Amino acid sequence: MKGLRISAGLIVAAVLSAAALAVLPPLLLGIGTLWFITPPLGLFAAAAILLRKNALLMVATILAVLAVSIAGVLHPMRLSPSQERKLTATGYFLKGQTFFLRGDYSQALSSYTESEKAGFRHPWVAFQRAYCYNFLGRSQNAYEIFARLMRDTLLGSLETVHINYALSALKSGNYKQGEQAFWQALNYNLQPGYCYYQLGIYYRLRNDQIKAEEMMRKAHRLCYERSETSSILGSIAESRMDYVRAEEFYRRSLRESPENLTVYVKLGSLLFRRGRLSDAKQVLLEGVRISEWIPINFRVYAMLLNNLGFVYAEEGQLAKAIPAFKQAIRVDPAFMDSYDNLAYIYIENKRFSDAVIVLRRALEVDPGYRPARRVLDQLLGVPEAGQPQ
Amino acid sequence: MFKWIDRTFIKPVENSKMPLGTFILIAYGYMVVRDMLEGVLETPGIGFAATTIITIEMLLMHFPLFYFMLFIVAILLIHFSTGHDIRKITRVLFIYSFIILIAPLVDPLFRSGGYNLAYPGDPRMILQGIKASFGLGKLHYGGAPGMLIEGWLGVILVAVYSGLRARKRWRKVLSILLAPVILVVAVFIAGGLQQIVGAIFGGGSIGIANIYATGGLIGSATRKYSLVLLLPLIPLIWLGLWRYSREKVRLLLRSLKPFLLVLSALAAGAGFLFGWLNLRDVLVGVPRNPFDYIALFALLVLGVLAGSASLFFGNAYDPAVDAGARRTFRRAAGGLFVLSILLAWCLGYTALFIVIAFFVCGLVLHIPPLRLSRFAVSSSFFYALGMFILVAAGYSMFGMERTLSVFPWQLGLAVFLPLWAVFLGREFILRRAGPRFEEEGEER
Repeated sequence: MKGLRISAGLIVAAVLSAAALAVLPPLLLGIGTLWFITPPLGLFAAAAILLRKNALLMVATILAVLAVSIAGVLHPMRLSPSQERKLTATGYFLKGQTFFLRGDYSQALSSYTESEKAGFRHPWVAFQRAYCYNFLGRSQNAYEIFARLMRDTLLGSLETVHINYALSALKSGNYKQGEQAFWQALNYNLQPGYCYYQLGIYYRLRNDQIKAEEMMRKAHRLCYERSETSSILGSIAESRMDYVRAEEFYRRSLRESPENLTVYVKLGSLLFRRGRLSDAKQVLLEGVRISEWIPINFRVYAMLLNNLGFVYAEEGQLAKAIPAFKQAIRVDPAFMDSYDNLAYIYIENKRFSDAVIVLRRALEVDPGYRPARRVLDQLLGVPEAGQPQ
Repeated sequence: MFKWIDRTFIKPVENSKMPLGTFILIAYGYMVVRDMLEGVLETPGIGFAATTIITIEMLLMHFPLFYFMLFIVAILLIHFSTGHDIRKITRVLFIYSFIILIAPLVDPLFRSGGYNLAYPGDPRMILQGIKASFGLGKLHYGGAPGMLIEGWLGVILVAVYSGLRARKRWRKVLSILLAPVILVVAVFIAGGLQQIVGAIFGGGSIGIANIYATGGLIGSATRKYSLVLLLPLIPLIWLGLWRYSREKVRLLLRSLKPFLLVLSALAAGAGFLFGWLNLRDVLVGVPRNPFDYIALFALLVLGVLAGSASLFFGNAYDPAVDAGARRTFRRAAGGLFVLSILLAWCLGYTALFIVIAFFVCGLVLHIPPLRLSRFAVSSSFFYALGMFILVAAGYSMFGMERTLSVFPWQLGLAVFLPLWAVFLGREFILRRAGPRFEEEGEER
């Protein structure tokens, strides 16, 4: 039979396949169970080659891959101590990354530390640790790591390291270094929009409103967080009592991002203070509607409802004000202003028992909340501490 | 008037001799231009307004995938409602897809600074758009007048085109009536898939935005969303191609080697499994991300796609295959190459680079003339290398692209050497199968 004539090449290939499939996986991976599985598969593959059946050969290969995978689940692969160490270090780094992405920075920090202990000495681990410190509010630790990275490693030239160094310096109270780093970043053209924005915030905190405004204008021109920068420009104008400009900025901010809910709060408050109750009500209602659509920030949602209740109360519409305050409490029970306002309205309308209930609920949420305690004591006739009876 | 529209605008496009790829590229161009214009004239920070890698991913992959999903669903639905030739519908829809440029061009006329556009995948948003069109409500959360104009213009165009192309009277009436439904379904499938993913995997109270924080194998939300669009797009493309030309799809399917494809998928899956096995003790206590199961499935699909592309590419340059079929194989290999690259891109940058290496080593180097019988050793080497690269892709995929550097050499040898020996045997079988097969490297 011509079709079954076996050449030397075919025999060599069959022997090689049989040997490689039978011996190499158990030998190299150190999984004993495989000694009972791969040799028959090797023979199967050799037979398929000698019979010139490609399909059978592929079946043997697929079974071998499956066998190695299943055996790997049951028995660990044999690795050298240095490989084990590297894997452990990488594993802890991955663990850190997973927690980091989930926003669990404390777990991420401990995983990164474990990774460094296991021998992962890459500056990037230090960078991630510093990042975690920043999120955990330990800005001084973050600043120290970033400063070391800037000084000692090649990562210092990286945009992200530079920017984070600058930010951690400002946050940790090293203002001069932070300001300098941001200006240097601007010289290097590293995220200029972001740098102007951060400098704007810094100058605003230092009460240098002119510089802050200039920075925010530049950030806005560079399209960095347009809605947020417009909102801050509005706040700056408001602090200068330029209410017309402030309103313009807030409205621009809302055009740029109708989902920026904080701006509804700011604009609503501005209009309320200017006595434009109807406009304030309209803005706050719009904010509430959007909050219902995208319930992302519950604190701001509660603030909107609280302010809306305030506007209704000012208009004398108690039937609408009370449910607004109640809803604000439901949305964010930790937002204490709503309890105060609701209790105040009840007291104004001589519904003292309702006020007591509200204030008690406030104290259940935050037992140390003094305004509620004081009003409740007054309502219940308890003398204030330190006063003679 | 309708006859004039048909004669002037539709027939020349329908009868165009340009290949399908050109129409796809034209539509892709419109999509990228739309994204760029949105960056300049509307408020989202994409396009010219931002230059981060996430924006580039959104610009070139995420948003275009959304539009392609929308158009393919619309094309299939119009095809089923009118019974018209799908090739002609595809040409017309892709050419006139420039209506997606309306929103960024028109919105600034309504309000300086434009609008913050969003996917109209939320049914509440579609309802709100319909209400706002009749003055019964107000648009907010990602809606814009330009989008409304696009939507209604799209409905009119689909209705006119369907009415012109449906042959029987009942089909004309049905397809005109179905025009808005077709668009709503297409928009909802394309945008809704992502909303569903956001709702399912977002978790917690933050909702859709939370997907950024859930992490998992794929760290980037943009790539997660892209994957959600890409995976259903693959069978839709096959369905569209099936309606496009059954003979060609049959030819492609018949040329596939199921065992080789299973092996490719298994190789990728086994790599992933070993990545997990080697790290499972360390990763105790790490919460799982449900999206990882989708990523694992995508990895298996990637193995199949890459293996199929390799086979098609081999056939595309096989002298034994006739010229017409070779052209079909070339196009199919090109299409699958793009899909594999996109899928690898969604899975991670390391996976992307590894798959590109797969195409270079496993695909280009084992096609004829290298894959002739006298080069059996080198050919089998590159086949084995291709499979091994898929194992490495799986392994690196497990650890968010960080584990490639700790890939154990024992595993590498235990996988690569037996594969090389097996593929060498396969080459010898092909070589011994007869002079014709020896010359052409054909498998049977």
